[in-house]
Amino acid sequence: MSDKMLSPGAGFIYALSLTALAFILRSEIVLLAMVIPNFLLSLYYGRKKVAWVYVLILISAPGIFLNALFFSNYGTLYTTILGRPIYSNCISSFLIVFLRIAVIGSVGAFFVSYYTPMEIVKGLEKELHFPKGIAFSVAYAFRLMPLISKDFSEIRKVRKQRGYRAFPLTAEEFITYAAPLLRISYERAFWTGVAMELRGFRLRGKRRISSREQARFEK
Amino acid sequence: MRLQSDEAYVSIEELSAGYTKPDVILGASLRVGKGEGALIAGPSGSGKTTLFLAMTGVLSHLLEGKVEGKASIGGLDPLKLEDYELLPSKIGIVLQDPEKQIAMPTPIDELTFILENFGYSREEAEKRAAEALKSVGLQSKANFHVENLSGGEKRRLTIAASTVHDPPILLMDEPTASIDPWGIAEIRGLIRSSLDKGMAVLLIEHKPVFFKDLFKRIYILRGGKLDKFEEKDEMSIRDVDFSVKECGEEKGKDIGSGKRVIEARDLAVGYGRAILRAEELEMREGEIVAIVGPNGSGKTTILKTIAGFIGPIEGEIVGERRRFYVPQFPDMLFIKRTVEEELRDQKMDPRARGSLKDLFPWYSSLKSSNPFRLSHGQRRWLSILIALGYDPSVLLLDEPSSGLDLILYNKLVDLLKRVKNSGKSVMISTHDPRLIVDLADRVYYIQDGRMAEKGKSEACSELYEVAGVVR
Amino acid sequence: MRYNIFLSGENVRRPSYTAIDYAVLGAIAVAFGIMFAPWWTVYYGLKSALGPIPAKLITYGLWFFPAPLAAVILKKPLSAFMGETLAALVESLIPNAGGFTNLIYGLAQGAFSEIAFAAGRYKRFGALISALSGALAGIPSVLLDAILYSSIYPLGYMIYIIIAVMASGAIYGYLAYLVGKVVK
Repeated sequence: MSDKMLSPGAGFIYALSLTALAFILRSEIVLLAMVIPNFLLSLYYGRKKVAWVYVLILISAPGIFLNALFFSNYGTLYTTILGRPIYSNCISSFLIVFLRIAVIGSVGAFFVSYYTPMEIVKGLEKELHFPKGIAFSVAYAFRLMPLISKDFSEIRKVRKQRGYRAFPLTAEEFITYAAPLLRISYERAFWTGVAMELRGFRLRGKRRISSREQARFEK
Repeated sequence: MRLQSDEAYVSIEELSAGYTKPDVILGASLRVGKGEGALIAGPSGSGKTTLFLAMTGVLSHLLEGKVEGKASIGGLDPLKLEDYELLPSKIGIVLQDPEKQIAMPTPIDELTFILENFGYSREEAEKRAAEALKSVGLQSKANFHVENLSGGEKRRLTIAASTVHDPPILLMDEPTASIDPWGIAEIRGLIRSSLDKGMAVLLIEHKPVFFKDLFKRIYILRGGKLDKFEEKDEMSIRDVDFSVKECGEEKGKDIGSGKRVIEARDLAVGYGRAILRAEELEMREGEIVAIVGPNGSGKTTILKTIAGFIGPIEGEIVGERRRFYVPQFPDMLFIKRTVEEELRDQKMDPRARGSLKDLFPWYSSLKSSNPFRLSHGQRRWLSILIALGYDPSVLLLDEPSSGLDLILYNKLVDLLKRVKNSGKSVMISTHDPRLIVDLADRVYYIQDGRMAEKGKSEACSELYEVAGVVR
Repeated sequence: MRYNIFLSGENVRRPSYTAIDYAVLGAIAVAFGIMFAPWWTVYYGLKSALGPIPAKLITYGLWFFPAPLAAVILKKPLSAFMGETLAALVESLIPNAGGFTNLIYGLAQGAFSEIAFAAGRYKRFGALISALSGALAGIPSVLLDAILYSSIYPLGYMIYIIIAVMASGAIYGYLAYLVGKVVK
């Protein structure tokens, strides 16, 4: 299955639970205690892959602070910035929300840096007993990913060649990009589905191979 | 391998099938026994794929289609749901295109997943999958993402996937739709070895020229009717490719006298690292140049480099700036909701735009159709017209003949000749020997990561030779 | 899998999912997994230019798109739910700042989107139901935001936010119907 200390199924439950906890916990210390190990582990296992997740989290900080300043600036006076009073609640609100975001980001980063996509897929099917179809869908998504990225960038280049914007900015524009991308993907998916049906997908998980058939394969 | 008596046969009797009513296939019958092969040839739209979907039970059980008559595969009746579910252990299938049948991210996962379907434990499945990969020479790439395999390696993976469970019957639906002569040779090898093993082999194909020598029995499907086909009928069939193209005599190097529209020296192209190098590349006004090579050898990459989509890794391309690239998937080019709007796009050159609708043979009946709703051939056609609307000096076409039947192919050849005669230059990437003979003025041939000029007839003969076709 | 609770008599055809359906769901999931990422840039760009409410109105519904799209293509019970959830699951498995919140939001949005098609008894997959499906997905996403950002959330504006997000969902739901029609 997997030679990881924490199996992918357990890792999935771990990441999902911590993320759910981040929605309700209000203690800065507890949230910080959740961030630190995940932050360190994610950097250890996948520095390049996840570094920009932390950049994004840092970028979100000023916005969170501004929101805290507008909607939550009360309590005891803490300090003054640019002549504006900052009250204790503004600081703690900012910290809680920022740390929640950091928990979510670091747990997710740890998860995707520690496991390969196929380990996760196998964990979902074999350990967590997700329906075989869900595991198949996710595995197929990872099979298609580089192909669809390539299609998407080709569509953008071809658009530019036709004198249109390389990236959609409105809903109307968006669908003219999505339609060809999805159409090409749908056709591939349809035939891959037919192939999988005829390669025994329905039998999956339904029976063990009989010893007689086994013997036939042995030859 | 020893096969039980009724395990290796396929038969259909008076089979009629269709999507809303049984009107696509009309009373088809055929029988293929143990160690026998049959080839079903037919033009686009003749119902080849419908026949495949109908006889395997996919049409009635998954697509709500209507099927009447009888079918029997390996002693099972695929039209009955219980039997349909057991069918996979009897059949190996090869479909059109590796992109349309590989379901898992890596080769080892693909084969393991299939073996697990049949009830093998993970450990056993992995062991067998590794053996099967070894037998097609993919053991060193077992854990690569399939998108990092070459076109030939992907094709070999699909062959392994179709036979890893050792089925007694092999069914193939247009396995050459998007493959190159190198892949054709592999499919021919698969057919031969399967017949030798005593399997029943059924091949449905619109380019029978590449396979007809392997089959004693050939059928032709047209207008939903399946008929036995005799050698003497060959000449009367105009819409199916039965014969090898004459590659002609070498005429000597014929470099056009027009001005140079593309010129490059010591060019290296690729994404990040060079996958293809060319010491010299040039194209003249009014010339059609073919770039020929296997799938995944960098044909598309060099066209995209010339189009300016990606920068060359080494060297520089000079010449005319007005170049337009038409992708292999015509859908990528469509923006508007109707054919009419596409052909009247304001961003186009006003003069070039004016004549487009006369060049679209189906204009009056299809002008208000959504471009995505057209047939494959019509979409390809529309994508080329859109390109012409921008009045480029250099038209770059990525595998323009793929998936076209003989009638549309001939129309395409005429269209491109007109384009050439109007003074434009056309560069096509292809592995279709017919296009070389019918259209190309000159050929650049790719071998082992290098591209160099080669004589037309030599390139054409070489492609047929690679495919293993008996001439 | 059984969906008997959703079935009402023999009118519902093909209730079980085939490998084709799962492959199509996987393709939708990854296409949106890829398109969502740059869409955040569009959202933040518009937010800084026009403010949060117009930005939400213009962009937010895209995140609900897979639900009605999957339903319009597959036309089966639970296809909206699975379309949204799988897109969110795949997004969670690609490195991004949202991590597993994607999955949590996806599950909730998918469940709400599904209500529209269930209300149509899985017989209607038209423009109106698709738009409704997109609009409904807006409700849980605003509520989850309100919980996650509780201490800094502008509860007073909640009504405007809900309206903007639902309207955006309705627009994109309608577009999903148009796209679904040409895709299949």
